[in-house]
Amino acid sequence: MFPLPVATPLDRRSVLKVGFGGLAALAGGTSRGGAVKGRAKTVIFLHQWGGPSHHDTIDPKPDAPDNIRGELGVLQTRVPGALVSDLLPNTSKIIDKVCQIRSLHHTMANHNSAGYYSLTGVAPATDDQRLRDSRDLFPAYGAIADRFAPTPAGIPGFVAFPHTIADGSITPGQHASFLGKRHDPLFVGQDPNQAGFKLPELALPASITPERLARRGEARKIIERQLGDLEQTALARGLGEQYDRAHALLASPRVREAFDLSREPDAIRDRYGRTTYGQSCLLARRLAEAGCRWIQVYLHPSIGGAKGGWDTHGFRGEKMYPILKNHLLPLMDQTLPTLLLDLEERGLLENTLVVWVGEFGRSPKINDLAGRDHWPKCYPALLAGAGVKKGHIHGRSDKIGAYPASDACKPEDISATLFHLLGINPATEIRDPLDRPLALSPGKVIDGVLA
Amino acid sequence: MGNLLIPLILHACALGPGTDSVSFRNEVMPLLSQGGCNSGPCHGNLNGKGGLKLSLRGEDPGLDWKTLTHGVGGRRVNPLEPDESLLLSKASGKSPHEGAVRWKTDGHAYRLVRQWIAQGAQPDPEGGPRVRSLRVEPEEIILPPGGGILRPKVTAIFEDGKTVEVSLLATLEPSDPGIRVSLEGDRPALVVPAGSQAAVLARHGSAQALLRVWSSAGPSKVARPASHPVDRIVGQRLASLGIEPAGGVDDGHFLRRVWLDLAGQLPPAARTRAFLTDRNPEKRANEVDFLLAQPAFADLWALHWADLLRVEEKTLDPKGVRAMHGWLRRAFLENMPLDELARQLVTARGSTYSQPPANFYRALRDPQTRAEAVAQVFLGVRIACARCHNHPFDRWTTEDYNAFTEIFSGIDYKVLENKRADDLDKHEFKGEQIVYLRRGPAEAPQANGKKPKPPAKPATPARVLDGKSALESPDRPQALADWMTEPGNPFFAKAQANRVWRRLMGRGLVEPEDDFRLANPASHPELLEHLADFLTRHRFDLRALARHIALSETYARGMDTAHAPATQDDGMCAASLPRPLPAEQLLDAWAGVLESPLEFGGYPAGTRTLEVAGIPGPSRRRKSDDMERFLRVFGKPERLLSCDCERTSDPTLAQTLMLVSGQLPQRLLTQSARLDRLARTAPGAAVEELYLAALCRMPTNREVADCVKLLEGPGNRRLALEDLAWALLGSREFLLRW
Repeated sequence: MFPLPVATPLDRRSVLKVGFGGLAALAGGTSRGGAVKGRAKTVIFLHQWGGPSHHDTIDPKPDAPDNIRGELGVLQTRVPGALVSDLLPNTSKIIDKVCQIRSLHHTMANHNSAGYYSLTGVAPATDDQRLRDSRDLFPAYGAIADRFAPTPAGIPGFVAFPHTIADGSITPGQHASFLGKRHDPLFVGQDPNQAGFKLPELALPASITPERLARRGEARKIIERQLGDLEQTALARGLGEQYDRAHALLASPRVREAFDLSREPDAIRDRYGRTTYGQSCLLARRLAEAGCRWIQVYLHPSIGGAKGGWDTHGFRGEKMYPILKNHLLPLMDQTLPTLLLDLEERGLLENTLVVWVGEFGRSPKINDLAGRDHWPKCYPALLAGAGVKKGHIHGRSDKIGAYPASDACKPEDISATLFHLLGINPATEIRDPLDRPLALSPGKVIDGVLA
Repeated sequence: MGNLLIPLILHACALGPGTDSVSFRNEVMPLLSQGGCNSGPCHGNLNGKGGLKLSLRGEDPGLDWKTLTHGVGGRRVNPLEPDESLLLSKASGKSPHEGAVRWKTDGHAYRLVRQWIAQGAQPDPEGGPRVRSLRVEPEEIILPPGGGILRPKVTAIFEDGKTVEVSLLATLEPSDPGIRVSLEGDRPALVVPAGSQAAVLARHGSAQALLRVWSSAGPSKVARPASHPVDRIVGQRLASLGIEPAGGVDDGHFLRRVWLDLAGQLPPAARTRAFLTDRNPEKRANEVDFLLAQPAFADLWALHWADLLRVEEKTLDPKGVRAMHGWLRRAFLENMPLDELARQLVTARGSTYSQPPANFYRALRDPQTRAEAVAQVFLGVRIACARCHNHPFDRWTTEDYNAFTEIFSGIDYKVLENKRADDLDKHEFKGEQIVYLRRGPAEAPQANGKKPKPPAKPATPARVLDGKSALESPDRPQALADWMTEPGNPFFAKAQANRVWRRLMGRGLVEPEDDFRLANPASHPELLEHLADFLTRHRFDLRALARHIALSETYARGMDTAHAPATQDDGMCAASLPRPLPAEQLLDAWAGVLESPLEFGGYPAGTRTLEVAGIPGPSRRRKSDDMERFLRVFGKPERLLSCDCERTSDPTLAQTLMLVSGQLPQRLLTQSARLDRLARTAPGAAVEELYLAALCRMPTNREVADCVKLLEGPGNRRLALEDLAWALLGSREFLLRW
């Protein structure tokens, strides 16, 4: 019915003669720019929802006018030029282990748009507070880490806890989106500070004893003897692999024990503080020990409030300085230094990268309600551990902390740096649902922070 | 060298404006595309690369000429020392180039571009020869089983009718990434691996032509005679490619398949038993007719369309969700023709509570979203890319996009009330809305009471896709509905027929089902024509088409060793395509086999998941119950996109953990009325009943023996039954529709 081929049959000699240049090399999810050797085996990402003020934390401006300096005093640290707020005494003692970036900036002034940006390194098209999570938005950092730097079977790559963050609608950027559900985080929505904290998926229902689990497996084998050709298909094989992985996970004590905080001595639990966030930081350390790749800790489900995130406008009579003094700063001062010292003592800090950052910062000028408003134009991040300089400041803010004075950088530069440190080439391409080729990070690796 | 010069000179004569000058538009620009220079990952990127920004895929030759000749102080092109031009030194790798070597110095591209530069890097004069269309030869080819190398001939046809061969200038883009394009040698070559059924798009400037590559599995055969048109068409194609289709499935397999595909559930064990022993040669056709008459068929299609039409609670509010879903269900119960369904949705107006189709526009709240959704859902076309730039893979320009969007600019809302629970969430609407068509342009609210400013630039006149002229009627949605559903509309019938095929066969003839374009042709073009024609002739009767497909041998095909390991997702329909059960069907299957209750808030007892209008989206204000969690883990979409792709069913660890250690599956086992009954039955009979209910087949003797042994083992019989039931309901034979 159709004309016979005019083509040459494909044989080895013709293949060698023809060569393989051209467009084909550009198609598909290929890595470009060569392989990257990673320094970090684990990233602990401490997401500071609400947007911390640098004036009141790690980049205070004691010489600025009153309405910029604020109420707090400062402490010296071992790093020349690095001051911290006087309500962060423990933090002042570990500044020499940390690399500060003081010059982050972007243009998203709303929590959900900036939040999505801070969780994916990709700016949304508009500064839309209504930004709604859907499959055409960019994947979470941890999903990318799970996809491109996977962990061995039985160890979850991307773990996130203990809240889902939202401001009105659920903030996009917390899931794998178009990378596929298999890279969604292992999400634990329970409070690690509660007794009886455990991971539901990794615990069999009480009535299923190991013997019954084994009997179920045996029975499935009996039935699947009849699978025949179906077993050869990619789909059936994939399902079979998932069963193996599930059993490995259930059988492996490592991950289950990591979640069992009752195994941790009380003294250590007290050191982190008996708060949800404190115990979450402890859990993060335990999961780093278990070998997870990306551990995402959310400070609080809400942006602000008396016991919430960093969003201290002063609205609704909730004044900023009492919240900072009674809640946010003590919480930060108890958790961050403890986590870093704990990791260091256990020899984990060399291979673990800790990141502390929010979605934006807060305004230099104190507003009419004695609070500070959103300020994405200049805000800080802290990095510590694998592959980053110790006791270093990269990028300064200006005299009043309003704009970057040097080495300005953006959230995508942070993401490029984090991927780079994990051994993932940030220029690697993935395809979105519209089949557009997108790089894992559109930013540039910040060489200035690399050790 | 002499050999190559002649074609080059010939090119120059025909393509350039003068006697031997190289044309920028007709020769240099295509070479920039061929080399990949202006592609999205490279200089066609939004931000360009390395300081050079070219128009994406060469859509703006005028701008690119300026960029190349005037940029970087004129160093990109150097007519006095052509080889020093950055354009050449970078592309040849002489200067460091992140894009590596695109044009070898002894290749045709380098030489031609060099010649253009040496001639002064001139732009094309006004009125210079323009390419009207492109032809590729062969248009279609069958390759032998081992694959092959193709060197297609590409010819440009100019506006004045002249033809010139442009094989050396054209870009070749295969739909199968396994096909390599080689630019070495005397003509670009396609290296096609074994078994590739692909389409290759040839491009020159904005002209495109398609080359269809078929791979044969062996020498062509004589097609077996077939009475069903679907079988005849598919059979002829497979025979011409020497592909032997797999055999048909046995009765039990067929029964399970057709119940899932037409009713979204498993047949009762008693019915299966009867079917297996029935001698009536018409039993399969009778079963199809029985199922088409069930309300479950309407539920299945209402669910599918509710997904596509974004019927979700936050925007529509729970009352609107019920109203819309109820309307869809009634439409499918009454067998509303698909063109009428489309018409009612597109022209919908009124209160979202009392005129349910108005919820279509309640969900799609701006003209761009409406335009993209209508194109996707009704016409099978994805135009979203053209919002910002001319569509890279298809023919839609930004002007087409704007003109189509303009059809929907007059739709507006009277929000009668909005009792949203969260003040900050502007996506949330709770309360009645009226959808209406505005007469005249939108008026921006003016706080100071002054007259509204006219819009900054005049709107593109409204025009349907592929339309030659602007719509005249003031009721544009009505005009759109007329155009969409008129006989001869090139999009609607094919898109809907393809959708029905996809629901039954697991893969559209065009896949994805909303991505019809030149470079993504149907796997069986004649079959698509036939199905579209059938649907049109039967006045868009959904059941008629479903019946037509379900009664074919192609539908009843199984798989065998020859077809199993190969990439089956080639749309050749030589074997069945296994796919996971959708979330709702899986939950209903578990609850149905076990005879366990599922309780959906706000619905009467005994409601199946398939019948539920929608589940609330994930929210922090309320905890999801374990059924919602189960459904989400198994891919039930949130209905935020107008695309079936939102329902993801890739097997994940979370799904497996849900089955192995999840609360809901275990609860269903514990509360199972069937297992309670079977605990008092003889083990052999219990095993048989479970196999019939879950897998629609009798257990083999060996299976009976082994399962009975398991049941009679130590411990509680009821718990042993649970474990056996779990294994059946977790086996791959159960979890897949195959």
